[in-house]
Amino acid sequence: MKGFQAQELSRVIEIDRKTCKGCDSCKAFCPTDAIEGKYGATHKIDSDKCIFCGQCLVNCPFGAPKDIVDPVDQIISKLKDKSLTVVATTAPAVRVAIGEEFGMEPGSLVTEKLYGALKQAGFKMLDTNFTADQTIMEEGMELIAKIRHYALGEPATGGHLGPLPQFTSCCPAWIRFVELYYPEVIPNLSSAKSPMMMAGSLAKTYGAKEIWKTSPDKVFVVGVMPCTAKKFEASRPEFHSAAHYWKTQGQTGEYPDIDTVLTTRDLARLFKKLNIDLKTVTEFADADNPLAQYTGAGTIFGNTGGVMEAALRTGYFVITGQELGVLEFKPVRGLEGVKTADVPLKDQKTGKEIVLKVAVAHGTKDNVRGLVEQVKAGKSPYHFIEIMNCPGGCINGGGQPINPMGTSWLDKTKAMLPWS
Amino acid sequence: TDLVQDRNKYIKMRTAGLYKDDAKAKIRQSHNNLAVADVYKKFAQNPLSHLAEELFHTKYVNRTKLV
Repeated sequence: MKGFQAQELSRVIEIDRKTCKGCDSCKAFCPTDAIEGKYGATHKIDSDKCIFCGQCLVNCPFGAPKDIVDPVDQIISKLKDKSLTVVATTAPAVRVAIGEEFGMEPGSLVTEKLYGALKQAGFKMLDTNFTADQTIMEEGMELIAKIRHYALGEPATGGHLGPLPQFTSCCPAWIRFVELYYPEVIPNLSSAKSPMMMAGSLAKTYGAKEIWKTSPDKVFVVGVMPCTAKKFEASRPEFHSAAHYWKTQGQTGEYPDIDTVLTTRDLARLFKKLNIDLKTVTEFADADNPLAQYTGAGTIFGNTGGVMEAALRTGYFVITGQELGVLEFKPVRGLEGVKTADVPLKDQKTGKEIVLKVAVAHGTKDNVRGLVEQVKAGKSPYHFIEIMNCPGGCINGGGQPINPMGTSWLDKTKAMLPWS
Repeated sequence: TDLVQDRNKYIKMRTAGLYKDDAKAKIRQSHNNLAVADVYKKFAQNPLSHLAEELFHTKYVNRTKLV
């Protein structure tokens, strides 16, 4: 097995040999040609090439690819252990899709029902939208330091400044894609962790000390994600930052920042096992929990262009000193494969005018390689580039409910295939 | 083909759901999230501080070299 660090999950998705019809639909969606098998023969995933994005899984007409990492029962037992603080960190895209697992329409915004169901199950909340806002602060300041140096000619203060353009780093499938296929652009990746990974290290330091007032090794953090690649990300050995921090404070103990990850589908299964019905559960706003306070900029991370729009709202303010007038930054919204925009800015410190050039791409299969090749060749005109592996962004992630539109996709495809 | 249109329909509906969550939010910029500001005031000082680098930043691996 090559291309893996020690302790990393080397397999998240497997194709069930009995269900696979060899219809090649999965190959049409796989961004790295990681699926082997001739048309009509049983297909197989090559873990060395796979980036765990799950696009095969959510697009297979027969449901053959399976997510083989199932932490539901382990988490239910942890919820029973009263000595533990079990924390759920839920991604933006979960709150507009989990309703589909309970018969609601796609896009139904069910945040308070979700909080109510999580509370009833015994979870505390550290909403990933909160750490999405924090990611904007960390990643935004990193970008601005580079812009002040490269575009405004100021000396580089503080730590090592990476090159421009800066790529976003919140999509773990994109990160593995770069590490496997374009290591030359690793320095262009933002050093900021993804919002989920920030939630893990925050929960086991600030959360344990200030909010839940418990010892860090008694905090069990569960990522609730629209994504299968987040299961791989959580297993990366370097994500033990909280344990390392506590060692410097004289506390021993070895534990990861994120203990386990549930996909949106997994969480629905957990709720049903605990016979919690999202549609009828008492709603809960968690209003006085600071770690559930998030802004409109944090919540749109789940859409393609959302991280860029959130970053522009803050970047514009920090550089110009004024709030961005119209907050809906339309040029980066929508399902266009690659979206670009020029953002004129007047630096409040020096009065200099600069034009921030940004790009957004989603769908590694068709839309990402062009931008990356441009950066690799040193010819990229952009300062900041947002990349999401899944078409549409995380709302269409590999962990989301499968085809809620009344199987229109499934029926049409099955009707077309001779042997169904 | 309408096959693709159907497939994008639920993507567009979920997308609209998140933009609705943004539109109705009282605060719509990350730098105005007071609870995030508290994390820095009480704990991590400021973005890119030494502690922030340790807890909220990471490095990557050239996997072509991992065999």
